[in-house]
Amino acid sequence: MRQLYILFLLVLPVSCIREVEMDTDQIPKQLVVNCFFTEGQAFMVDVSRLAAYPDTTDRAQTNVTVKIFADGNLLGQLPHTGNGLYSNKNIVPQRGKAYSVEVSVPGYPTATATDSLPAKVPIRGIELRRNAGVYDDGLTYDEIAVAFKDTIGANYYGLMNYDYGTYSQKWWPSHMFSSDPAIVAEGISLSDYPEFLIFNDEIFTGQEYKLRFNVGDCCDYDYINSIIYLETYTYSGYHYKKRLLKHKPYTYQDPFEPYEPVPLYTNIQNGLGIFAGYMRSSRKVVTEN
Amino acid sequence: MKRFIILLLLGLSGYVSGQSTRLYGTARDSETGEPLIGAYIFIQGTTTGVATNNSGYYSFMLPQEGPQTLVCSYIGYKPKNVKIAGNNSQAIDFLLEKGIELGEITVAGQIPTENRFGTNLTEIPVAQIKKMPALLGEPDLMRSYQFLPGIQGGTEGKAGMYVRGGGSDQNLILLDGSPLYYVNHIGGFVSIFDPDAVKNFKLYKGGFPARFGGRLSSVLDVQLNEGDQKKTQRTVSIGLLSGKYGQQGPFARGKGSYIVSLRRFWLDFLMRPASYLAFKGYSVGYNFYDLNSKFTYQADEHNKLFFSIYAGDDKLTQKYKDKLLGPDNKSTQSLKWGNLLSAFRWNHTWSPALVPDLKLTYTRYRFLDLDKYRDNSEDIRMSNQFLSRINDFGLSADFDYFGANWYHLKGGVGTTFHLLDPGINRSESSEKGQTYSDTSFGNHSITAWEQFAYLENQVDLRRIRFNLGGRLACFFPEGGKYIYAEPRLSASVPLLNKTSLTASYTEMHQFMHMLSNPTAGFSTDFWVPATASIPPGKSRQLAVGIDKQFGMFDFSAELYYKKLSDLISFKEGEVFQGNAVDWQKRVEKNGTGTSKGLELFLNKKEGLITGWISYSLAKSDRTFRNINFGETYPFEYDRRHQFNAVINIPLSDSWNFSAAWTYGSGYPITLALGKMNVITNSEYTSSSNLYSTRETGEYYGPKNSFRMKAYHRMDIGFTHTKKAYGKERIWTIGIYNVYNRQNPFYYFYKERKPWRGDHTTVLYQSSFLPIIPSVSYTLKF
Repeated sequence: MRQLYILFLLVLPVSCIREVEMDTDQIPKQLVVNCFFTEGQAFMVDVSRLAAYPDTTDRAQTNVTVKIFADGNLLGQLPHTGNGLYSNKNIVPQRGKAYSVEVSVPGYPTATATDSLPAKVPIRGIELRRNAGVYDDGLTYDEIAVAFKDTIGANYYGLMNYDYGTYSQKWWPSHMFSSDPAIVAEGISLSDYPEFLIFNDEIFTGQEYKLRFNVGDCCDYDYINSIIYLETYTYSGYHYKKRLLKHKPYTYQDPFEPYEPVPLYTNIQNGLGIFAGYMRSSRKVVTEN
Repeated sequence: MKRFIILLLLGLSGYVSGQSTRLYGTARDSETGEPLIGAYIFIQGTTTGVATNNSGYYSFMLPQEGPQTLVCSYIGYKPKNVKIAGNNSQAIDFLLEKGIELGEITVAGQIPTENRFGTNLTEIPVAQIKKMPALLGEPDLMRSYQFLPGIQGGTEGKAGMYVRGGGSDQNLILLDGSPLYYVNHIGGFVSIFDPDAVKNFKLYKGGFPARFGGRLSSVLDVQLNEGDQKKTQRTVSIGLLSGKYGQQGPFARGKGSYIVSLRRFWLDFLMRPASYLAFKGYSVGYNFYDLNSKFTYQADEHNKLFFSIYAGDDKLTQKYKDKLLGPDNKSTQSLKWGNLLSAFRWNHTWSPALVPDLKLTYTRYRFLDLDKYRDNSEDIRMSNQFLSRINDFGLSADFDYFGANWYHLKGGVGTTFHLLDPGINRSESSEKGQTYSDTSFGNHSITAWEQFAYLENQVDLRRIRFNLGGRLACFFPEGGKYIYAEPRLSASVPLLNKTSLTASYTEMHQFMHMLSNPTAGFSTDFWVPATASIPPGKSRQLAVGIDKQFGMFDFSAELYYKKLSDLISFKEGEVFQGNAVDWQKRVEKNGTGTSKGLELFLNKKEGLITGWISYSLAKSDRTFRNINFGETYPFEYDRRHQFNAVINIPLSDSWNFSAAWTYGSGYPITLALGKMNVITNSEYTSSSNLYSTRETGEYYGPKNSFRMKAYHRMDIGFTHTKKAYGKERIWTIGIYNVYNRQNPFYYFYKERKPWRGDHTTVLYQSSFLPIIPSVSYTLKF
């Protein structure tokens, strides 16, 4: 429907933009605690504060007590490692336990959250189909099918595709789209074009499934060198990522999309952010063009 | 209590006539033969009189014997008198000539519109609407009603209608008695009703008579013209947006008449070639059309047949060809949505006092999103399709029984079969004859039966007038059953000096819910039925007020309180289109809402200068358990204050001037108030961590807690009408937003002047429609 607005532009003059005053006193004093944890990697908790929109000062919190509990028992404190990040290499999550975090900062309410690790689901196979279609601008895109089997303890999934950039020598998340029923079931449209996909097992519970998605050939590489990550999430992680996918900033200056804001999900008591476990499996795809 | 109501209804519906001389007939335009709806027929010098119904029919008893004068009057027409000498029942038809205004004759008592029974009915003559200033030269019936108290139009420039805090889906919109689901074009900037094809336009905001049901907040009853019964007439009209052709005339030696009106958006004739040339291989075009037609046939004195068809679609198509995509490649994306409606009606005059009506209707609404891609050289084909549609098949029978002059009984029964496809997706791809995917998924087809029966007792006594009725509303979705008794009462107590106190109480249920994809600016609407787990919406409305006529003015003041329950809404972050699993899992249900307000309305509808001023004070809200943390929040179009003024001045025999000014306090929106760290995917050099916490997300305050700035604007319009050589030429010139008010359309944040080193983040307001002049031309011949 957005195109319809663009059409309307052709017949109606678009008007002007002006600065307006805003009241910045409406912001509550709250901590923002962020941590995605997985098996075998030490907890890394980011602690910051909620700031008013025009506030450009550093939000990181550097004088914080961060405690980790397993099944209600204190495992220890996480020391500050810089930029508001807290980690202890000896405190590593394992499957089967409920982990809790407790974050205390003078002047703020103590923030807490609990989550666990979901089951891991391995990738059973990858199918790649080159030049499966053409974008509006004439560049082609590929289709990739990822096969896996849904297992007990895994209900929520995510998928990412990373391409290797030879110039930057970094792995970059690529934008994707999909017409797969499991993806459109989440309300993810072709125009969202996100860097990750999320879905749940409602239409393939306990079954083997082959999820199809498309990735662009935007740079016209001679060969494909990418890694596909299949992740499983808990309820909290899934809802956080799902909201994040639809969470567009107000700075998104599109006069024809005055959208309905999508607040981020949080499972932090007395605060904001996310504390959620995930498991990951991956498969490398290398193909000459 | 229930027994009492039933007994009361039955008792009132018994034989109530004590007189024996009955007068009946129709009131019509002498030039075209069109029935006149709401013409007042009364005994001169008395308050005894009736108004003609939607067929222009009246029936009433002579209150006393002896010579009397019967008068028929209608706004904009010369009144007509008929001497009644004998005491025999007889048919008297009135043919009125266009001419002087009603104010020049003496009417004792209040003119008997439905409002005298306490109904909150507003009617603006279509002729007056056509003279009002129009956006882009397109007179729009629904946009004109936004100048009435208690009605919000939604986003800037749109022809939306939010009545007394109700949603846009809560309006029952009837075209010749059949419901329509989608009534706008260009995403809401133009409504589907062509003013040249419409005869009458009534809006009920409360005190709903029992004949109406199925929506919670308002009833918009639109009657199409029947067509000129005397001569063939053609109309050609060209505006900035669309062109129209209409034709009406008699057939079957004057026994029948027809009207056909076709309107088409014509800018795509320019857009498509222009975009093709500009983008070399890419073309885009948008168009809409409306076809309104109605055929009326008077078979004999007692039987009249009607057949109406409305068809209208919006279509947006984008095409990509070889030059852009490469040799032998072609891609098409198209969106299509609209209504098809047909209605057959048989009106039979059983006796002068009993007039039954049988109606057969079919309504279809559908939304189709189709994307296709083809590469002929590689033999690759792909397509994605999303379809959502409703088919309604209806049968109903109504009757009017005109008892004594103080009593009118109305009743009816009906059934509708709903066949819905809330959303079906189909995805297909193949290469060199090999199919890679071919899947259909989505919400399965749903069927449901809706049935109703109603009775209205309109009692017009000296000290009180009321319409007491009830409606039995039933809905049978798959695996569910909903049966409701809806009491309807509206009443008025006449006081001195043409003043009345009014009060009404109504209960309504809505069996079809609308879900809008939350891309607020240009939402896509989908209709879904109540199901076994999603109950129908419910509203209860109580209103009290005062009406007064003085001279050429009507004044009304009304207080209302409306309670909404069992509302649905998307869960935060959910959308409808493309869903492969049950839509019922994506909605919040059992929502509630309240709406209350005060409406003041001063209307001058007679005399040389006409117009009105209105003010409304309103408050409406919504509550859902899992939205806004369960806290009550303001309704999206909650507007605390609204003031409107409309004036129409004939400058000469050929020139007419009109102006409209509106002021409204700001709508509530959800604004980002703060910033916070979020977890996002990031680039990496080793596979240790794909997640980063350095990105910034936004924090919103309570839902709809920020008020936009106030809205106001003035529109003016001139019409020039010239008749010569049997032709009528009309020029319409208008200016929208005369003083170029920059009204808020939406808000966003931006760094003030980063190119000059000023990185302060500030809030900006974007406006949409500035001053817009327009012109249109109409030729009637």
